[in-house]
Amino acid sequence: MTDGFRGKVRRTAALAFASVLGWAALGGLTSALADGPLSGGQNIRLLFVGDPFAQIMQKELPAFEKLADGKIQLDVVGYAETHNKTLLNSQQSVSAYDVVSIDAVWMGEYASDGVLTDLTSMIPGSEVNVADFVPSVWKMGQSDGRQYGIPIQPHPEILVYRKDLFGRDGIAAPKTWDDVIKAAAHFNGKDGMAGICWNAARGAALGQTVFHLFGDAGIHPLGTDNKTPQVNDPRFKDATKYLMELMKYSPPGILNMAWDERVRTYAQGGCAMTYIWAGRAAIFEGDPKSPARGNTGYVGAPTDGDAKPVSPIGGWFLGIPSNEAKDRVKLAWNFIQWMTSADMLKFSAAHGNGTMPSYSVMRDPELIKMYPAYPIIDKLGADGDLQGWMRPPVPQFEELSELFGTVFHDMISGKIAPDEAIAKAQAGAVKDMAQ
Amino acid sequence: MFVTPAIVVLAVVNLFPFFYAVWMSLHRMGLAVRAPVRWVGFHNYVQAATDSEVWSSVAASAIFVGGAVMTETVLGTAIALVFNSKLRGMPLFRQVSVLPVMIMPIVSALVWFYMFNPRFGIVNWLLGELGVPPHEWLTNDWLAMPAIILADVWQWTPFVMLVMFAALQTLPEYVYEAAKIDGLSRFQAFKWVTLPLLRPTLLIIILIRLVDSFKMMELPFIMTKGAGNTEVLPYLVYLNAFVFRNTIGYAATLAIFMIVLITVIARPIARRIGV
Repeated sequence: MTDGFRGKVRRTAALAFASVLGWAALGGLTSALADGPLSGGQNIRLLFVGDPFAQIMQKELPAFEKLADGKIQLDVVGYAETHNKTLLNSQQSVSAYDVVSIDAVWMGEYASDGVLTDLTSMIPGSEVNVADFVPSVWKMGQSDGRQYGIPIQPHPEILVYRKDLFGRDGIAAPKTWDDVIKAAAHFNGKDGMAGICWNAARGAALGQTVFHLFGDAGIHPLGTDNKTPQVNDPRFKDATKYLMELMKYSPPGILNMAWDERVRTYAQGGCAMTYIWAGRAAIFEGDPKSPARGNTGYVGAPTDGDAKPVSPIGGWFLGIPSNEAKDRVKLAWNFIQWMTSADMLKFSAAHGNGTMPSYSVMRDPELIKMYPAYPIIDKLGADGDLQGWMRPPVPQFEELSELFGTVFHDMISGKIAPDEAIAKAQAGAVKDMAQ
Repeated sequence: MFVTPAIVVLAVVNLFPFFYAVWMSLHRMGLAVRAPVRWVGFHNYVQAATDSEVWSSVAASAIFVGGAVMTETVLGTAIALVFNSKLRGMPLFRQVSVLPVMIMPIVSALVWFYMFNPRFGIVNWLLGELGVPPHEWLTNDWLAMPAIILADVWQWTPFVMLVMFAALQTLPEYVYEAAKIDGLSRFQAFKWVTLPLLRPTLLIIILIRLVDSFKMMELPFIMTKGAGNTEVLPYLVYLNAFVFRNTIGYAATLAIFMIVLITVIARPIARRIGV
């Protein structure tokens, strides 16, 4: 029996096991949730972003409808379209959607513009198990102490690395920016790979990187009151140096690299490390052909060397539009409780959604086998290292993200010097916050 | 009486959005229903006139429109002349050449985005086979604009070709017979007979492509995100409408500015056609 044949047998067995697990889960769920939230054949209208939790629903829609005991009308759109459609929907006299997905960073904007229903009074006595969510995650669904969203797909941005290669060359897992640069320099050009992949594309992608670097340096981007931009904080200068250093060890096309492209490049063996939204690890852990599968180490976001380690947590929440028809609010709320229940979150995870929505998902033994990152993220959460303050949910967040992503893109492209970039970003941020 | 319903529909579809945009341009307002709506008068227009970013976008639009329209017109006419010849296989080539026009612009932009990818795009691979080092096409100040112009030319040259081919088909044979009798060479016949006869069609196609190219937004949106000096005016309108906060009134101002600009540029051409 050759190694290749043994491998095929193992893969077939693993697939069969996963299918049995999935269908057993469905069978168990069907009996456990005999009365879905849409019982009576009602329909629910959803506006979701095209992220894993929605993609799984798209793929398994008949199963979800069976579990929900009704009809699901699902609109899955891109990131910007989710934002725009939700705002435009808020202008209607009656909402066209019952439940919408909300990026945590939009919470401030939506709350101040009255786009969402305040869920605070609905939560006590409901099926929502607040204790099952990481506290910093739960808080991200709030604005001014009021709850507007229930977590459906939160996960942190962390650093993953090829532990097989690091181990081979005797390099420790990176903990600081200096460690990252040294490791990136070591691996760049070896084994046909670049040192590191990351979000460097112009606009929101690089803007997000910049916000996360504030966190790595322990700087609140808009001050502790979320009102005063801190781009000109002297500590942030090191962040610009870090970005310029990363450019030296990045793959071709880095100036256009964003989101899943960095993960796919890593999965294909194109780089030795990558920053990644942790839930996207399923891209390589679930791909038998990926050299990174089973060979990936997971660490929290590296710091500037002085700051306390924190990994930025972001993700998606479910909310109810404020102009939802009065007679449909209960239906929408029942649906949210059902979708964010431990059983449904586990069902979604078992079908390929590798994000970390709750403790019960992260501590499920069967799911840990599928997603090796779970225990690491669980520990980060337990240590209080999962934080959202570096992604302030102010109404101007999108604008600031676009501003930073444009100015610092000019910097890493070599068009402007770091000092000029900092000055421009600071001036632009002050102007945006004043509006 | 019979045209009244059509006029009403046209008025609602064309005039109402325009006047609503004018109203928006006189206010500071946001997308969400409870975003504050504040009367600012002509402040948005003054801001647009004095904003260097706006004028950079106008310059980018001018370069894009000039480059794309000129290339499409010359190339489309040349291909139409070839297709008008009696060479074998022309009907088949004509049918195949029209395919790019049938593709959705956003799909075309996506395909070109991946073709220009420095790591795995086919453009760099082909150049590599010729010994040319890879380039960062979509972020380089000198290459990004030619890249999006190329994407536009690829998609819309067949449209120009179709219109010019149809025009060539209507040219009377006897003028060429007369030219032959007068001893004109083929080039002279093209210059003194064909081109003047094609002039009205050329002007129409230039007008159509000019207006269309000015409105183009999907190429920088998908391919460059404005990098490499490709932040054309429609892209700036998009950013102000949907990304920046409470600036949809300013976006309306920029959109009206765009209409005025297109009208000023297109009017002389339209007058020559007799529109």
